[in-house]
Amino acid sequence: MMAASMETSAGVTRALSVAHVDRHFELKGDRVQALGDVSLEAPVGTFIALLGPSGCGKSTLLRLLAGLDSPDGGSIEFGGASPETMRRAGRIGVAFQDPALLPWRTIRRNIALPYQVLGRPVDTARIEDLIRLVGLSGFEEARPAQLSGGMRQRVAIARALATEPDVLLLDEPFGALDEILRRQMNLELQRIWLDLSPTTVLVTHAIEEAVFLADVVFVMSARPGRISEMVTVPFERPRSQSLLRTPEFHAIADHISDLLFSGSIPALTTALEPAETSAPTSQP
Amino acid sequence: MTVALETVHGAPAHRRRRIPANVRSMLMALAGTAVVWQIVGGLKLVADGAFPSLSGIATQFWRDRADYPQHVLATVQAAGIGFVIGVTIAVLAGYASVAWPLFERLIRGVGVTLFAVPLIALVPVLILALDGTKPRIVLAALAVYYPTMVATVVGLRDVDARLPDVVRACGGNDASVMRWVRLRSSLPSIMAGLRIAAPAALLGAILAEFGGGVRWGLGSYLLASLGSARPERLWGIGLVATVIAASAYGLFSLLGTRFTRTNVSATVVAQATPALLGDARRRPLQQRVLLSLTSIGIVLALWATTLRLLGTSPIVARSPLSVFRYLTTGDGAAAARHTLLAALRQTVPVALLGLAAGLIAALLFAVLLQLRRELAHAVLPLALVTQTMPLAALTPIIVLVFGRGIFASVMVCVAVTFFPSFVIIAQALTNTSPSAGDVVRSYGGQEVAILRFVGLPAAIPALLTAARLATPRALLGVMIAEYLATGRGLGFLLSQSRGLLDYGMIWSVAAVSVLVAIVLTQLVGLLERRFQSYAGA
Ligand SMILES: Nc1ncnc2c1ncn2[C@@H]1O[C@H](COP(=O)(O)OP(=O)(O)OP(=O)(O)O)[C@@H](O)[C@H]1O
Ligand SMILES: [Mg+2]
Repeated sequence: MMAASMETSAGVTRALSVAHVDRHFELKGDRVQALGDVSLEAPVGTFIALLGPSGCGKSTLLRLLAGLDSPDGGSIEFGGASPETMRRAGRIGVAFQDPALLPWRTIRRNIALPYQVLGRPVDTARIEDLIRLVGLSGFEEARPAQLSGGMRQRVAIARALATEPDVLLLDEPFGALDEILRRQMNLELQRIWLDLSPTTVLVTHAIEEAVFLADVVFVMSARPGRISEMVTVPFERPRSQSLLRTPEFHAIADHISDLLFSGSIPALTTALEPAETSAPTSQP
Repeated sequence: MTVALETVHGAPAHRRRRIPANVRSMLMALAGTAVVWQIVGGLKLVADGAFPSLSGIATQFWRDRADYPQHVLATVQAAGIGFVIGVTIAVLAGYASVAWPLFERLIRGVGVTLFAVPLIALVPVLILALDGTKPRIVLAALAVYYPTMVATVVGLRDVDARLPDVVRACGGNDASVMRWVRLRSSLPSIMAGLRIAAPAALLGAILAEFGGGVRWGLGSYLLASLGSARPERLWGIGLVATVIAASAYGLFSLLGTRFTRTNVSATVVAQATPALLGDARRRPLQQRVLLSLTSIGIVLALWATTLRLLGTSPIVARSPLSVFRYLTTGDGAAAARHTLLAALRQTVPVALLGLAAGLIAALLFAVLLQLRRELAHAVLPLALVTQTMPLAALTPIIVLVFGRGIFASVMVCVAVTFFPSFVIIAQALTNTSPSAGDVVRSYGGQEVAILRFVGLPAAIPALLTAARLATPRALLGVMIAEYLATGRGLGFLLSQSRGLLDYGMIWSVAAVSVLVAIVLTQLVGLLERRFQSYAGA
């Protein structure tokens, strides 16, 4: 039902295209090339995962996609519209690595924030739906400080979904969670996504998470950050926990793991250390 | 789920009202002080009864009970109106400063001036330019401006860096970030600013009453009692003023805790540096100098246009140009300059001496405290009283106890600079990382060695910060003492030229003391920043 209303409002042609994007930062006179010639394409409603070592520019790319920052070269479009336009129109939902909730607002009012910022009437019924969707019924009037880290993370996701965005951007939303909660959240995210099917970009360190959730996994490498490989994930949806134990799943995960470790991406083996700990399946 | 909800909603921490342990031990120490006070006062041990017993003060207070309500009402009313006006202007100025950085740069001169200005210097000038209760209101408003403006700027600017991104990601622009994030998250900081501003408004109102011409008001009451030399009454008025100041402080602390559970430390807000030349953006030096000159020009323009708008006679109300002429080309300019310089030579050294004494005392005491923690509770009550008692009420009492000589001026300086400096230095000493202490300890060092290698290096920048914040207070303290009692220096010149109706001199003293205060605070601030960059902080 929600997916149908989204299609009529957004049209079906809002594909994502990133072409030759460059981004560099000046740090005390030094030039850091965060992204160099990044290109990728995806049809509407795709679930994309960005996977790569720490510092390879995933967050930088996501901020560019969100229209929070602009590239030094190249272009980013959502079916002809710039990220800036999409952001201003409230068609992008972002959940940052840190939940970043307004501490003085209740959960309900935190999720209502996007409506208020956009100057739209607050859709209370939808907010109730979202709270139920992320499993926080009963906590509507609690404040962020009274919730656990995982609960706050779910509020941030609900907030990102509030305006029925055409594009959902998630920057390691489960990075701070333990393995069990993380898997639960992966299942919930899949459920939410199946319900609304926005074009989604998920940044993650975890190979297993990327393969479990995405249609396409873009593997990135560092210095400068770029896309080194695109891996298509063919599994049917909904995907269940048991998928994690199939040889097909392992084949893809191992392939990506090999890509990350292989000599074709030099100087990566050391950079990957932190990622390894949060993704136990990355060991072949 | 319901159980979980109970615990979530059961007892929100910010609604709890319990007396914290440190407050309790402070109250106990306060009671101890009262006992000692009673004994010392009762036996007339200090300065021939200038330090009266508590019961004596209470008796006198009871006798005077009919006079108090009107005095208190007059002062509190003027302070309140001035507070509201000053806070409104300061919050708007703070808001505009954050929204338009150029505006901040241009009105910085106003902030620098009001931070440094010895309020007493403005009293005769205000009384010349305004009538009735207006001088009190204006001086209260001026006293409130700087702490409130800085607190507003700090509050609006220092928001959780992730929150503006959230609002932008939802489709917002700078205005939406201001509306949904900055305004709300600035409230605790603004409340911390008001906590400092409220007692300052009281001080402003009382000081303005020292100018005379008003029957009712705690300042007028103090002035009258100083002449009649009745220490019990002076103490009574001082303590009443202290209670009012403390209640105002407490009220805004309480309001502050409603917005956040963690209190913003008042010293954090007060420590913001007003630097005339400094700039967050890297502008070329010429541009910075130009902007600074413009911001000074704006202060002078405000001075001139205010007088023009008030329509006061130019003989009484002097413009910047007229003051300049009075001291350079006018008849008797040389004599005027001579008088002024002589007064400066009396005031500034005493202020610097008092400042140094206050800072050294604060440093020694902070170090002592580091080694002997129990001492804190013994001295806190006294420190608390000297900290909360409005300077205007404290000065007559100190004059009473220490006589009318230079020593009284120095003691006023020490009394007003000691406690705030002590707080800042003690904070720096306590905040040194414990692991650094462990390093020294692992090589066999004792507490003294830790202090030498870890504590003191950390205390020096804090000492300079304390010095910068204390400089205006020291100057104000000396000038109040001079104005009321000692018969020397700028303060005395101020009251003397009032009596002689020497309008040019009144305005010159005001302008010169503001100028001296600005130069001194800027110099100390420069020293502080030099040292900070040298220490790599
Ligand atoms: N605002 C900035 N200023 C300067 N350098 C930056 C900035 N943002 C990112 N960088 C640099 O760009 C590079 C990529 O950073 P980015 O945060 O995008 O990495 P990441 O892939 O998200 O890493 P992680 O997985 O650790 O979150 C890093 O070298 C970082 O130092
Ligand atoms: Mg990142």
